[in-house]
Amino acid sequence: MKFDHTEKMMMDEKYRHLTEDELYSYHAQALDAVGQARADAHLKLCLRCGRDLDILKQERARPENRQVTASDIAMVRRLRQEQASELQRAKAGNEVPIKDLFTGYLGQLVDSWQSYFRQKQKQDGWQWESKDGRMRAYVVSGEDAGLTIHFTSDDVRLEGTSFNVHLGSINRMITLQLVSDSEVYAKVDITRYQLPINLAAIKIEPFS
Amino acid sequence: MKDDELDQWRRYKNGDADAHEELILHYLYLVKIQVGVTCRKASWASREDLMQEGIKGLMTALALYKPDSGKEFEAYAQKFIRGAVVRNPEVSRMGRYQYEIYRDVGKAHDELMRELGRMPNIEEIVERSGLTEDQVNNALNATSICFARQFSDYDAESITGRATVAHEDERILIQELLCRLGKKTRRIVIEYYWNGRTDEEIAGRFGMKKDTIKKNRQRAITKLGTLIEAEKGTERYEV
Repeated sequence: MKFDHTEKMMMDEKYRHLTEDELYSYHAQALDAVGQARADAHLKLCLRCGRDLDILKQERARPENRQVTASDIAMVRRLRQEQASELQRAKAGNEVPIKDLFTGYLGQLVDSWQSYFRQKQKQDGWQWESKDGRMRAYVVSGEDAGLTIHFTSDDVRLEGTSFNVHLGSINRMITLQLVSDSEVYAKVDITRYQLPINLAAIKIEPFS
Repeated sequence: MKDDELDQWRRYKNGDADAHEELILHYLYLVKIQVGVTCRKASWASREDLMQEGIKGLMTALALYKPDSGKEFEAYAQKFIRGAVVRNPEVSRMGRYQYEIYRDVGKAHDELMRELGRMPNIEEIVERSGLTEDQVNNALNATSICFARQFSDYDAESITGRATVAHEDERILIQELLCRLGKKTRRIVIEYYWNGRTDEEIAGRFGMKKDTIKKNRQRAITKLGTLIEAEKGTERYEV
């Protein structure tokens, strides 16, 4: 990377607004030394983030926010009841356990991969979505003629789910990580030297 | 985590319904704080609706959290609660005119911050945006609700949340990689690029020669560039 580009990136960092996570961590003094230094530098410049921090400080300091009222308890009980009814309905409807659901996704994914790469020897262009639309995977070719397989799902219950990817000389265990409140994600990078001649020969299994 | 809290978690994970309610009420303050922050920015949203969404977010966090993971529950839950509250359609409900005001104020603020190299004041933003002081004040409170905080540029792409992912990755990387520099070198880089000090001022602080500071700083930037290139090819989320 060019010197000027890196220097500009470094310079620009102080102008980047603090994310909500950074703001909360800054207030909780939970940022590392670099994060703290960047936040300090940005807050000296930014009226908007400064105001957000003030609002957060004020709300955290409000004693009413620490009190639990009778109407809070009533609301919590009602929501818990609603949740329990939903769960019961799901059970009655024979909802598939998450582990079985994930194994089913992997089966669909491998079928899609194999049928795509049996026909095409192109590396990119493959993308797949589970039948229920909750899990997706796709391939992106790298600059070095390798490729990256991305896995994503909006079912956050899959956080921490691991699986093995076997392709050519690759045999790698990867784990879906929570990247936001509504997405889990994982990827596997494969260099061109690791790619097999027959791209269709993939095996993906849940890690137990 | 205190012993009684750990006990609540153990009981909850073993299916104790009372412990579930106790935990929700114990962490309810997180929801109230988030709802309080959101209502101050999006005053049109209904507090009760947001409380309900926030509690649902808290319940999801409780269900997914693993007490032995070593993560702080408060930080873990924050994501779920904020997501549930801010995703409520009430929060983002606003007219086109209002939206444009918020966008213009954000743009004026960010331009001035860069041009002046300091925090702009209200009068300067009023002058730049051509809006009234009240409009500017309201908009400054609400911008972070209306626009994704992560993306600071007010172009068409970032407003729709489609900012360039590669560039965003590089930005996150640079902070991670700074930690890999030696403590003194890192301090030099931070003082120069973030705190606006000259090589001479830094040299004075560290009791070193100006040229040595300059060389160290340039070497550090070159090293950062190399590290970014190397890291871009590795798997960030792989375990």
